[in-house]
Formats: sequence, C-alpha cells, structure tokens
Amino acid sequence: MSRPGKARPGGWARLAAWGAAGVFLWPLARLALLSLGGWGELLAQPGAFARAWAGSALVCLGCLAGQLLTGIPGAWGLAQYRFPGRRALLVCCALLVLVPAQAMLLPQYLLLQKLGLLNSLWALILPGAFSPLGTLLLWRGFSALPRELVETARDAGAGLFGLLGRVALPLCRRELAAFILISLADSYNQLEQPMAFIRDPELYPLSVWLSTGAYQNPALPAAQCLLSLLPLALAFWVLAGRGAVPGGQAHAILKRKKGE
Amino acid sequence: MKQQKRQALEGALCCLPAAAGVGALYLAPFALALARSLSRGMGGSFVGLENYRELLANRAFLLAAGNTLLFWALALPLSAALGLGLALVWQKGSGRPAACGFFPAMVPAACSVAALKALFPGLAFEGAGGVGALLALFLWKNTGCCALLLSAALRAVPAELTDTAADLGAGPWACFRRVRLPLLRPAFGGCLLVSLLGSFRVFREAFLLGGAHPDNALYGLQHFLYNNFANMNYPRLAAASVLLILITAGPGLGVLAALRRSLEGRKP
Repeated sequence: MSRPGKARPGGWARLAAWGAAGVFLWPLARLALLSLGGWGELLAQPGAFARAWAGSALVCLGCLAGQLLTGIPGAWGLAQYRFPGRRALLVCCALLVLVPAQAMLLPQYLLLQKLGLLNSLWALILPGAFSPLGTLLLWRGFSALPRELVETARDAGAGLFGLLGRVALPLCRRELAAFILISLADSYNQLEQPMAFIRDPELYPLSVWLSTGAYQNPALPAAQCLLSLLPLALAFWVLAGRGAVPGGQAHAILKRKKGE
Repeated sequence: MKQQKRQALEGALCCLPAAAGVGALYLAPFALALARSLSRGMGGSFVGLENYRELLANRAFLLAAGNTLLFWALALPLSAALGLGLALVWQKGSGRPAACGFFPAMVPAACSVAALKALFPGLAFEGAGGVGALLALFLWKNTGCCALLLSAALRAVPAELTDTAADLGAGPWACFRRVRLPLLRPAFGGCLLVSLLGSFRVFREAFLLGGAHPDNALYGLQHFLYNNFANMNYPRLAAASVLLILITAGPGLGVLAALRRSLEGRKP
C-alpha cells in the first residue's frame, strides 16, 4: 500500500490499483467469455430483446424527464429562496432517500390501482417521476453557488430560465451528471416495481425480461445480459467523464480550489 | 416587505412540482397503505393495530427480519473495511481504477446473477454457501461506492496534519490511526448509509437466485413481500410496508433533529 505523502504513484502502487480494479471487472470478463457462443443467435433474432429494451428505454427517459422537471426547479427553490415549508420539504427529501423501494411497493401499488394505471408503462414512469436523492444533490450544488454571481446575473436581468440555464446548471455539471447517472441506473435496473405493477409479460422491461425464459444455449442469456449492460456502460463512461463519479475529478477540483 | 413576499412566492412556485411529487408519489401512497394496514377484509373494517400484532408474531416475517439483520452484521463492516483498503490503494493516481470498482453497482440484477453463474457453475443457492454468495455479490457491487466515499474523505485530510504528526515522530501507522482515521468518521457514516441502501438492492439478486421460496437461511424481506403480494394479503403487506418505512425513516428524523439542535447551538 502506498505511504501517505508520496508525491506520485510508483510502479507497484499502479499495479496494485489496477489489480484491484481488475478483480471487480473480472466477473464481467468471465461473462463475456461465456457469451461468445451466443451473439450470433442474439443478433439474428433480436425481436423480443429489442421490444423489452424499448420499454426500458421509454421508462428511463420518462422517469428522467419527470425527475429533471421536478428536481431542478425544486432544488433551485430550496437553495435560493426562503419560504414557509422549505425546511419540511428538505427533511422529506432526506428521509425519502432512506426508505427502500421495497417499502414503497405496496403503497404505490394501491395508488396506481386507484388511478387505474396498473399493467402499463405509466405504472413504472409515474412513481419514478421524482428523485429525492437527485434533488438533494442539486440542492447542494445550487447552495454552493457564490451569492454575488447569482445577484449579478439577476441584476443583469436574467429570469428564472436564464439563471438556471446560463449560471446554475453549467456550474453544477458534476451534480447534474451524477443526477442523470443515478436516475438512469435506477430506472434501468428496477426489478420489484415491474414485477409487482405489470402483469402482461409483453410489457416487461429488460431487467425483468432477462430473467424469464429458459434457453438451450447458455451463451445466449449471457450475450443478452452483456448487450443490456452496454447502454449503461456507455452512460457511465460519458457521465463519469463529466464528473458524475468522484475520483479523478477530485484532483482537478482540489487544484482549482487551491488556485482560487 | 412586498419584495420579500414576492421572493417567497417565487421560491414556493419553484418547489411546487417537487412538493407535488413528494405528496402524490410518497405521502399519498403512505396514507393509503396506513389506512389499509389498520383495516381488514373486503369491507375494510377498522381493526386498529391487529394487523401489526399479527405481523410481529408471523414466523416468516421474523425469519426475514432476522436474516436481514444477520446479513447487515456481516456485510456492513466488511464493506467498510474493504472499502478503506481499496481507498488507500486507489487514492493516488487517476480515478480510473476507482471508477472500475464503482461500475459493478450499475450492473442489472440479471447480469450479476449470470456473472455469478458463469464464475461458479455448480453453485447451489442454499445454506451458508448461499449467504456467502450473496455476501460476495453485495461486496462486489458495494465496496466500490464505499471506496469512493472514503477516498474523497482521505483526500480531504489536510497534508499539514499528517506532516506535523510525522515531524513530531509518529510513524506512518500511527499517522494513519491517530490522525486520518478519526477524521474519516463522517465518511464512515456515509458508507453505512450507502451500504444499507445497497443491501436492499442486492436483495434483487437474492430473489432471482433463490426464487420465491428459497432456503431458510436466505429467506429475506423481498421474498416475504413478494409472496404476500402473490397471495393478495394486502393488509399484512401494508402493515409490513408501513413498519419498514417507519423503521428506515424514523432514525433519519432523529438524526436530523439532533443535527439541527447542534447546528443551532453553534450558530452566532
């Protein structure tokens, strides 16, 4: 293990770092190896997979849109204004982060039943239309904006959209990237909600569809799993590069802070 | 005064969609579940806390709760300790190895299960082996997150502190134990939180591996919920849901209240 105080990672430190990373990636590599025989079959007949993936994509985009529309103004209001009930809303968001999805399963089922939305993709989009964690992330980012900056922009005549679009969001790219990554991953990977809210197997999103069905060729489900992982890996790569994952970015930010 | 009122109105309007989201998607369902948990039968006659009493005496529920607590007792410390080790390994250099360690958290449950089966083709998901497999899955997905949190906290320890300690004659181990580790306490709190949330997510893999009626050692809350769902035993399910919500959100409320008191005490 590298000693604290060493300026640059030496050869051994780098070997250890990538070795540890390799341990985490190895199960996926093993899966990739297993999948080699299945790609031909998958790409020849992608019908059911494509339909399930389309459903997943619709749900992900719907949830993301809802979360951004509720979360961005919400975080801004919580950060930049003072009004009665503000603290209650903040506390609610914080507490909701702690509640697991399984606990909300029946409560949301009852609501969806009353609204008649069960057994449709809306049953997956609507409950996911607000993200307490994402809103809190953005709230922290917006709260950290320098007051003078916001005041100057306001005095220059910027309205709400101008403030958000030109000042707040561009400065909070990391928080926004993390927001989007968390949202996409949660929506794409949800399992309990589709199993509880949707009866019709045709409507199952990819996460559920992958675990149904029996196969002759064991390489086929492996290939399907890997293919389903690709969009997430892509999103991860793009958004982590924009700072969604603290890590290499922290160096740059610390340097910037020291230089200010 | 008018300016202030207009500001307050603007802020409230900004938060209206979010508040509507909280109310409609969380508070309203909670109220529905609460009402359902206090009644029974098709007519919905009020039975008070009868459903809760029954729930707490239900053997399946107790088994699930016990298994969950046991899993947490094993998984949470392991994840934090391994996370700390990984944070030390990953703290220097580019963030790319750490990002690789974080990626498993994004993998869908079906993929994790497929990967597990690819690694251990003969694995029978029962008994201690099953718990071990679940633990391994949890650590695979969660340790990277802990490592990221701890790594950020380690980086935030000012170098002057460790330098001063070293100048005063402390060796690297003492520097670590006496200077850096205590400063990591909030980060360990964050690890605990992230790991708790992650454990609820790894229950998905447990469900996929064990089916609806797994071995006793692996019967968890998700199996309890799913089976009662399938049996349409909504009052019991509602009571379990309300209880789970109160148990997870309740301590949070206590922590926030304590924090607020300490913060307000320190404010000028």
